[in-house]
Amino acid sequence: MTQEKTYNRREVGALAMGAALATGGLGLATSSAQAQSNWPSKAIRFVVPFAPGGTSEIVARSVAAELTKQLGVSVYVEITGGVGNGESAKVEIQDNGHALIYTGTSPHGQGHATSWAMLANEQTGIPIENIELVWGDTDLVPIGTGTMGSRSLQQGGNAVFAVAAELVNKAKSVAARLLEASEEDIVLDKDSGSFHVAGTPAVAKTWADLALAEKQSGGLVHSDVINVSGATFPFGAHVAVVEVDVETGKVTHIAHTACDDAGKVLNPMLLEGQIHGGVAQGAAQALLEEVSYDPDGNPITSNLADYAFISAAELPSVTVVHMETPTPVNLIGAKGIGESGTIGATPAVQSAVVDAVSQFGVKHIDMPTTAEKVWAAIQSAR
Amino acid sequence: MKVTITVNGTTHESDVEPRTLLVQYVRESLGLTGTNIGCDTSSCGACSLHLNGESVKSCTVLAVQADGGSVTTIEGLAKDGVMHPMQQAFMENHGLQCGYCTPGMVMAAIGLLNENPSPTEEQVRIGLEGNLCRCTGYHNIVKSVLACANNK
Amino acid sequence: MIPAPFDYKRASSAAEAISLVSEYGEDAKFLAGGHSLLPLMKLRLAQPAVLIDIARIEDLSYIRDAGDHISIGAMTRHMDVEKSPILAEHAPLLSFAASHVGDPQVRHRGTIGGSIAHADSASDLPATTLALGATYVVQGPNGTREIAAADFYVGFLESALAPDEMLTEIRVPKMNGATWGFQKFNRRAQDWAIVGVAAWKRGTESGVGLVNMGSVPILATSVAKAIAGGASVSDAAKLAGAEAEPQSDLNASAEYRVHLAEVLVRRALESTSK
Repeated sequence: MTQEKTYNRREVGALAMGAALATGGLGLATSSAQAQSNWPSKAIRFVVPFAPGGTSEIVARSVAAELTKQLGVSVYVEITGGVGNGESAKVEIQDNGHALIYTGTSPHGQGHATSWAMLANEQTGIPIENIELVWGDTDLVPIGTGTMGSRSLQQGGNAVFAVAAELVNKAKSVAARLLEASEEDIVLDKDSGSFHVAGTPAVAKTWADLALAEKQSGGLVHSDVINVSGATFPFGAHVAVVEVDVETGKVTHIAHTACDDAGKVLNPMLLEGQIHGGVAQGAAQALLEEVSYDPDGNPITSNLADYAFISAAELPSVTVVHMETPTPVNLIGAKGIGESGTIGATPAVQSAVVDAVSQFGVKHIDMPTTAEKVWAAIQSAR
Repeated sequence: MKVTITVNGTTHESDVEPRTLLVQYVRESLGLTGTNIGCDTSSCGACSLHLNGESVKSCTVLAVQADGGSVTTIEGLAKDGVMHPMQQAFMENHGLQCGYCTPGMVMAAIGLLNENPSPTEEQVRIGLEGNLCRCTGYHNIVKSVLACANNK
Repeated sequence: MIPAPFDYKRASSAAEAISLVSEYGEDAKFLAGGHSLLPLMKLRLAQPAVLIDIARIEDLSYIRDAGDHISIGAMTRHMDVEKSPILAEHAPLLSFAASHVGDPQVRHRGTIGGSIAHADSASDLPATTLALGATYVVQGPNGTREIAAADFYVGFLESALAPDEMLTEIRVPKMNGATWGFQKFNRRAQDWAIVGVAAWKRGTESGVGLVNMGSVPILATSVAKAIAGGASVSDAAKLAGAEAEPQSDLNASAEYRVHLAEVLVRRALESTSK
């Protein structure tokens, strides 16, 4: 059952804008009174595919209400999980009952060792600290697409989740054999990480027991490539607050709030880390960073002294608002968060700058909105 | 040229070309590859370590300048398997992702707290102006440093 | 990334340093903190055949109250200039400016003498000491001489130091309660100034130095003259560009630099920086 909300474009204003303060006055931009573009020309429709009265519907109503009050929101939808349509995973139980996960993703700071362990733990009951991750070595992981395009959790993590579930089924059949019972009567007690016949928990086999039992016949392991049914569509809204020193054009990014919906959240700390990094990179693109060339085509920003790689001193801390609309496209309801920060932040910050100086008649400033560009825009608009 | 440098408590005597950078010395002569090289222009801070108790960019110091001195690298922080409080704070607060900037960032952060034990958030951000990071957006790095400061 | 090969000598006294540099002539450069020189050598923009390390010469690093001025040894690091209680009291414009050089790691190694001798118009301390009317003490084979900061910067990266001379001390007049301001305008906190201003004012007396507004650090004498003549700070600041020859580069056009100088001079003179 779906609910639809329709908003009058006049109140909402242009799609991507940031709230801004100009020095010398509170210049919160208002709607069509300003010289803003007339796009979008249609109402913005929020589709909330959940029953009325549920959390998602309440959130959608509140966000929509705020949107009608004031602009200053960069709203986006992106496509993730479009690279590859699945991923490989192997879960193997070792003699001591620990688990080894082999993944076709290639983490470089995204924390897959933690996340995939959480997923495997959810299926198997094996403690997270007893689960290790193997990746990147094609001798050990012959099939894998890697980590990019915000694909890893929704495809790679999903594969781990599915493979671990199948491993539990295999384990049950081994347990059934050892406990001389039928497979349907075997129960996995995730708290203790052991299998027993329903009704007789005292007689149990641990993961280690089962691994040992299977040692001669190839071990207790399951491996597969798990496909997903399609790409996913994370979305969100960012608000950037900047302060423009009108005399010099210098921009300071003073606050940033990001609301990103990338489906079901597995690990909030890792999720937020991805958002923080993306926001910094998006803000940097809007404010500072640019690859420049001389008239002969020689790059002149070819080191980190000339290229204005943003530092902590130029950035605010980020307020993150969580929102979860699970996707039906995989087992874990997750979309991809890896790029949300960059996508939401860049237009929010750039638009905040323009918004701040729109009071002088400025309509647009190309990124990066360096001080000289902002100052020049103010001079020519006045 | 012969140099004698104490690194992480061990004194080494080595023969180096004068143009050997301190970062090359620790990485290549001593095999301590925790300290990273991230740029050509003394901008990124990934090479930061402590020389005579102060944070420096080891890519901009010659090994011969460190002769007779004492160096601490990232490998020298943990004692008997127990992490330095700054390392602990980075771990608990997700202050690193890919980890490339991290050794330099941790060394710079320790130097920062040595000189200003109770910094404000702004002082932390400015204090880390010489250390660049692409992954974290600095948010959790700042959080880690403030957490470490508050735990002392 | 790696400097070209060079010979490395250590001087244990100023006299030895001078005799070494006399021996090797133009092939030799002094090595103090190395944070102006080594970055150039790593890009091979400088390839001296000999480096004479002066860091171990005793008593070249100090900050002393000498009555009407503060004497600062050439090897004094930026961090020590920044944190000096003597300078905080008597020349706070200088200690504040030093706190803005590079980043903390750079300030642990770079020296005031190295920065001044390197004579880069985009560096903070040459313009600041120029604004303060400093005198530089220089030692050569024939003895010591003093050079006024206003006579020291003769061209792009070129100072009045003879090839066989070494800067040993910087003498900064006490500010005696002058108000002051230091405005460093850059893209990122660790960057060089796009334009910088070091200024002080006491009644109708003032001194204004400009960073990165020409091939040498600029003394904005027209501004000081206007203030001496009773002009308001904001009127005087409009003359900020009078002595300057700013360049257009990756970070700013010359025209914008002049505009910035006018704004920043006014701000530097209007209120004491924090």
